[in-house]
Amino acid sequence: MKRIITLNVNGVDYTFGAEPNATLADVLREELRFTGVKKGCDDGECGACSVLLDGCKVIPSCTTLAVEVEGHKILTIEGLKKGDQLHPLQQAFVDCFAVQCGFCTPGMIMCACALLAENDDPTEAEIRDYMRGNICRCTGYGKIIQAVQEAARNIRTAKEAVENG
Amino acid sequence: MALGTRTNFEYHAPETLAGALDLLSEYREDARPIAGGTDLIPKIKSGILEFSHLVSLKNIDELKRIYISEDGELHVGCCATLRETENFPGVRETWPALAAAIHSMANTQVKNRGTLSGNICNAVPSCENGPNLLVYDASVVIKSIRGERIVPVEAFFVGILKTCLEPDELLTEIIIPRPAEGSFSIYYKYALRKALDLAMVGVAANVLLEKGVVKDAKIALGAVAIVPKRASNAEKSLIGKELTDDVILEAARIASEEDCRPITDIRATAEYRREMVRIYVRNALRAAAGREGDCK
Amino acid sequence: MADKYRVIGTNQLRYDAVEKVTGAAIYSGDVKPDRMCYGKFVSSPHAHAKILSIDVSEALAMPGVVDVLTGADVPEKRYGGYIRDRHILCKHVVRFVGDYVALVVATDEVIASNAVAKVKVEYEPLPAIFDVEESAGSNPPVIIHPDLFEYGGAGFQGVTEYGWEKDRPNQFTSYYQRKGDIDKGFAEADMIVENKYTLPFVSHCTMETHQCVVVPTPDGGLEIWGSEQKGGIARFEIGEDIDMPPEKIHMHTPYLGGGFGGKTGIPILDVACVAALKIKRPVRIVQTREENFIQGGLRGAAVMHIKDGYKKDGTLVSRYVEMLANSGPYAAHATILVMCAGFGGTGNYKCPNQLVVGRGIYTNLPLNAPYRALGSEYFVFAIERNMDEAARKLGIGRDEIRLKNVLHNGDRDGNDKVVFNNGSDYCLRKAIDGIHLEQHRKADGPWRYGKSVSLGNKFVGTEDEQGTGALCKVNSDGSVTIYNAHVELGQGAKTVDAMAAAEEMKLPYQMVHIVSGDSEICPHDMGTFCSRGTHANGNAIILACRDAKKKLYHLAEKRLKISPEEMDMEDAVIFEKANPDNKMAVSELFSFEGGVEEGGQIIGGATWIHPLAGNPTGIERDTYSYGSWGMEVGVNIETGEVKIMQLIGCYDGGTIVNPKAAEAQIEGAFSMGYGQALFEHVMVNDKGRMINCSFRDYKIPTFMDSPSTSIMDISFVPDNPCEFGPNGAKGIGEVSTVPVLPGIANAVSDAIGIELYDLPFTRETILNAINGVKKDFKV
Repeated sequence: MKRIITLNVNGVDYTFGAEPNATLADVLREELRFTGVKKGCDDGECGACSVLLDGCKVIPSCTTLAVEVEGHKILTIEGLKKGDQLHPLQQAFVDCFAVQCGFCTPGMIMCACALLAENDDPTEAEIRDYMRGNICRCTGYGKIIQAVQEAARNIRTAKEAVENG
Repeated sequence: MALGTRTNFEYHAPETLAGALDLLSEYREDARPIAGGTDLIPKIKSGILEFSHLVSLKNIDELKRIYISEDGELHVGCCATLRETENFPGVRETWPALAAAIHSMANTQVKNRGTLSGNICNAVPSCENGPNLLVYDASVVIKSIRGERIVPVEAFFVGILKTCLEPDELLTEIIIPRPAEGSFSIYYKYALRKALDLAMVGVAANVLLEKGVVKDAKIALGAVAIVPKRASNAEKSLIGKELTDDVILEAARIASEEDCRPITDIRATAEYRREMVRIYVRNALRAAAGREGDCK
Repeated sequence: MADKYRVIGTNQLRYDAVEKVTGAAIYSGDVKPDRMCYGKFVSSPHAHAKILSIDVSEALAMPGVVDVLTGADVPEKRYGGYIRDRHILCKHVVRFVGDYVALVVATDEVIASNAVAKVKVEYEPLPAIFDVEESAGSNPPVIIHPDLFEYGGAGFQGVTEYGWEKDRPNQFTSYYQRKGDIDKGFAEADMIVENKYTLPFVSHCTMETHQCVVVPTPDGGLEIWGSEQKGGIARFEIGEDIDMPPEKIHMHTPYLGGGFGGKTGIPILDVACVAALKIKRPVRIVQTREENFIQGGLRGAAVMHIKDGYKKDGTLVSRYVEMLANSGPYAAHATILVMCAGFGGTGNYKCPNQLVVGRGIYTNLPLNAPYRALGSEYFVFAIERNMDEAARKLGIGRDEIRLKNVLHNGDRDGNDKVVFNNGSDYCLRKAIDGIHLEQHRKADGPWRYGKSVSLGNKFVGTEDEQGTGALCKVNSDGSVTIYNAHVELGQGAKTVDAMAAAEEMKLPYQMVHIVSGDSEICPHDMGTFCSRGTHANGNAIILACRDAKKKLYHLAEKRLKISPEEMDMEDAVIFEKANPDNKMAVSELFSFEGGVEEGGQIIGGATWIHPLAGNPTGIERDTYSYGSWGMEVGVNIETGEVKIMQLIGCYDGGTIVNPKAAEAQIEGAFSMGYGQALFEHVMVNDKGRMINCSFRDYKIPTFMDSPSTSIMDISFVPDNPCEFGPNGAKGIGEVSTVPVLPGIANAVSDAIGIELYDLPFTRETILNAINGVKKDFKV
């Protein structure tokens, strides 16, 4: 039987009925129409469905029941851009040619977002390790790593500029 | 084709541990508790489990606790996530095999939801955390409305996908004692890929040397028997001996020939697994002897 | 190239990147029309069986189930990409584990999945055949299509002859390429190297599975969104299959989440169309990942027999290569693969006597689909491996043997065609000079090191007679919109097309818009595969832009008071070549409401047909792209693990339109070839069922496995424009993988000093070779 739940997605509360066995990925895509959340395997193995929970915790939305995160804050790729400006990670993925078919891209960016919140200057090895749950078939990963490092650099630089007034 | 019928169930989200235990007692085999859900939810989707009541533990804060007690024991609540456990201050330094096992498994996303207790409750032979919990002499706290019992991890794993849990019981906490002063512990996960792979062979070791002589040695193997198990014959061959390379090679040989019963499956043949047991027990003992560099 | 071109050769940012990084990019499975239903397949658990009965009553009774379609609901006639050997849903026989038996349609995806288990099918299992060598013979124990020789063909790409041989009943196609006399050649040879090599079934593992949404339209037609590389022309096949005029089918191909050939002629489309027409509601079919492995079409397994004859000095004098392609039970595009793969066999080296044979063989293993390089990778793998062994036996360098025999411009290849625009020599030398084959790293604990150079080729499939169309609409601000049917799979279709238009119109790249993937407004093209996209579409765009310019110049005549021949344009300003101050902005041609004086709009259009299409004089040859790698690997002789130490890659793609985007392709292709060499193989049990159908068990490289790009040195042959290409461009989508596989294989063999023959070179394969353990490789 459906349970009425409220999810806060990209800053907005949504209240709707969800089956207890419905995954967060399906609810986001089909009920709330955040189709930027992709399903590559629907089994917790490819990372395409990655979203952020309560700030910067990257989770596999296909292996999370919607009812288990009721009342919590979810951030999807659609919520990353603030106003007209792309998020530094989004911009870096564009600038570094880290996007080909684009299907893994939203999950990659959300995972990278979580990484940079924990580690603002990751090495190549740290990026590979943290993002190992995200599979890409098109790029060979090289330019994705470059994009994450470039975004990290840009975020640090912007932060320093603000701190130095 | 694997398409089954997705399990449908009534959803309960009790606010207290007592409430959860009541539900498990009422519904028994027809209920399942859920912590992170990263093993349970794929099973729900594929319909290979049949149950009608899901008991969510999400509102029970006491189950999320990780702490180190006054006598240095690590206490990991059943709802503490794997990443919280790995990153808890002191874990990497004091329980390196635990940290290494958690680090090697799954991925960041899954470990932000999945739990250490969930991993051992799943009880697959390749269970990543079985070996280190064995070499650390860990035990689990099991509760029901009937009371509480503390069970050593050795007795917890009973068979493939089988633990000693009764249908009305919940594993609430894992207790990992502080390793002996001066001991060395390590975990190797060997798999075909460095990510997205179950352990083909898992080796944990906890060795205490006194002036180069083995005072205590615990070696545990994963993925090469129906449950994670201690390599007791190999351990016996080490006690009281100086940890020379000959002794190490002999212990590794014993572990691979006498202490495991690997199978052939889609990941590897039994022969290959046995050989990897030999190599990685060797590598673990060399590391303990301070010669990890020899292993490359 | 900055002096020659404004835009070509620069690293313009990907046209589609912003859409994709914001989640705005739409893929077929994102489309959700009102009242849409979900379709889920009931599939055969048997490799070969008769369908005795299907009972759908229990499934139909489930709340939310709208219908269950079976073979009774689909046309009697067979369909197929080339040979018509298949029904939309199986009618009487199932021929592989996963063959489509029924489609459950329900209002909810979970309900549809749940209902699948309730459809009761009774089967009578039949003997099945899996081994390709057994099946290729004249007396196979199982004949999969007893009526094969009565089947019709679709005539796609003008192919109507299949090379059927009456004494090979499971061979659905064969192809022979002959040059000279190989027996005479072998008699003259000083040394012969003869071997058998095998490649396994592999899966494309596109991140997006096969997905479609089909909407029945009020006029009795269909509107489709599908992850289909053929794009708009899929309407013609679907129309033929379900007896509907193609003009009533409106086909959208939004972004595809990868293709690699595997989404050419996706079988779910026909089924979804039949379902939508029957229930009169939209139907969505989205494969699960498991279904994509089992039913998404695999690159067929192959057995390669090769026999090479050499002179003492390393000159190749005779070559025989035979390919048996294990293609599953339906020919699909393996038909054209068999014909084209042989080009890979003759594409790189000179040899006066050659016989290249391709055979497409039916078995009851999974369905095939085209896979990056369309079989060229089979031949190049066998040839490059064999060449290394030959070099060792002759005592000459592995670089020397290649340089000695490589084809140069003006040579005649194995089809007796004249070679042109061939940068192989440059590529090889770049790899050779960079890798230093003779210098070997010392053994290091259990690690042994080896090196290789490899050479690959892939033809660019543009010599069709249908041609490729493009439209160029000039907008009131002077920007242009290009309409074409180039499918964006992730390879950069829209990017290179926008660059071609920007170059021709002398506009900034940002002033070009691309509209593709809509059959109602986009002109004809055969489809995006076979490395033809950049080449065919770029040429069409250039012609369409020239046509638009002609119209612009005609309109400008009155204002500038000169003839069109005296005009040029740049940055949306038309001016007099001899007197640039006599100029006008394109925007001035448009009235306030956006109309234009004569005719109301400016739309240029053209169709590009390859000048050599139809092979008018008999000596023309397809355009080929080439690539070479120098590689160094380390092999752990205790565990069989392989690590990559150094990589030097050089590719000839003619003019490289966008170097960064091309480099991105090469890096990704390396990863795919690396996966194929060491990790990837479809595992099938003795009942023909695929058993590793998940990302966990079918091992493509992850972040932790792929080598760092810091050890990759990738370059392109400079100044080698192809006369037939748009601004000289060829295509690199497929050639990018071709030399990777043999490069790794050869380096591993070199490291352990043992010749290896059967892919993938898993750790156990390597360890068994080192320990002298013989293990049979099946499938």
